Amino acid sequence: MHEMSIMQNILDIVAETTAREQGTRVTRIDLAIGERAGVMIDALTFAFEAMSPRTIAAEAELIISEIPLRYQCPTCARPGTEQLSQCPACASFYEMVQGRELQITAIEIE
Amino acid sequence: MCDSCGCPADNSTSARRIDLAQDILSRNNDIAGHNRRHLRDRAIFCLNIISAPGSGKTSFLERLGRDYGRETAMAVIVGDQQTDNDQRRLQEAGLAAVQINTGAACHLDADMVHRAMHKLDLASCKLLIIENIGNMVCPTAYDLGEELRIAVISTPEGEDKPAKYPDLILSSDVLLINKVDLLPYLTFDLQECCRQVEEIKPGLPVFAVSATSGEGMAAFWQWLKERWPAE
Ligand SMILES: Nc1nc2c(ncn2[C@@H]2O[C@H](COP(=O)(O)OP(=O)(O)O)[C@@H](O)[C@H]2O)c(=O)[nH]1
Ligand SMILES: [Mg+2]
Ligand SMILES: [Zn+2]
Repeated sequence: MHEMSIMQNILDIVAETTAREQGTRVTRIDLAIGERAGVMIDALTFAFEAMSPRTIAAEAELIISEIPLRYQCPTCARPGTEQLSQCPACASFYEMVQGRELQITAIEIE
Repeated sequence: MCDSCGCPADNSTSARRIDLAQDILSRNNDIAGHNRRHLRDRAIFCLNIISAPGSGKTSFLERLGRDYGRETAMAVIVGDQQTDNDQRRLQEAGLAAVQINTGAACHLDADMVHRAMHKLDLASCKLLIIENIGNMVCPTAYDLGEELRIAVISTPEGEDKPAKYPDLILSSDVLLINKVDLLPYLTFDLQECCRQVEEIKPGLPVFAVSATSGEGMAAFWQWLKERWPAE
């Protein structure tokens, strides 16, 4: 249950960015969270509701897009499938290329 | 809608979108980068060991210290919610050790490791091992500055542990399956376990070991030494 500390990091970045951009209010926060990033979206949303009041992000809308897990052959870039661990074309082991993101993509301020 | 009179004209045009594309844990990652540089400058190889509580992380490190501690100077940073029991066990095995108590936190972060690093005398150290808090999910998000991440599961946990906790498998560089001395008493299916790992992270090296009997330790140590930059 480290969603609280993840949210603290998000709110810190939001506060720093808003101050730097001389905003007074945050209206929207966009996150990209990988399916395999070790973060539960529901718990993150809950943490936002619990922690954002009395911060500059109190009225912000939180938009989370979940990034699905994706594998790819490191040699020929052929997309991986769940049943196969090796690329049928060149026998390389598939590598994970997407799905561990923990990113704050954008914020909207006034 | 207009703020002053409520008319439909939209004059709240002051809203601005700021594209960040910033890692949420960027502060942690910066400190992890600092740890990594600090250790590389001193030619210290760093490992981050992650497992559920009780998989045998400390036992494995005690064994590693007893078997290879004379050959290679090692130090351990060990995290637990409370107590310094593990620090004492590791010291009794001849290892330099410093305990981090996280209280409420469910993972170690790079800053905790940074502070602990400066409590250790790393002058003669060649291998720094971080034993993370027993938890298979949260620690996977935090880079600590390690060169290799080691996942540990143990046979009493069941062969479907990798399928149940894929985040850890995905983020690790090697998997240890500990307590193989117990295989005769369990229904644990080693082959099935390896098949699941292969599905989640193709090509991940897996070592079946026992911290108790010492089985598999030499093979793992050999593999580890090959990952080390030549001194
Ligand atoms: N049979 C057996 N027991 C083990 C082995 N490794 C650890 N244990 C036991 O598992 C328990 C938890 O071990 P510990 O090292 O404290 O786990 P940690 O929480 O991951 O650090 C202890 O009672 C150990 O004696 C092993 O290889 N075989
Ligand atoms: Mg321990
Ligand atoms: Zn290929």
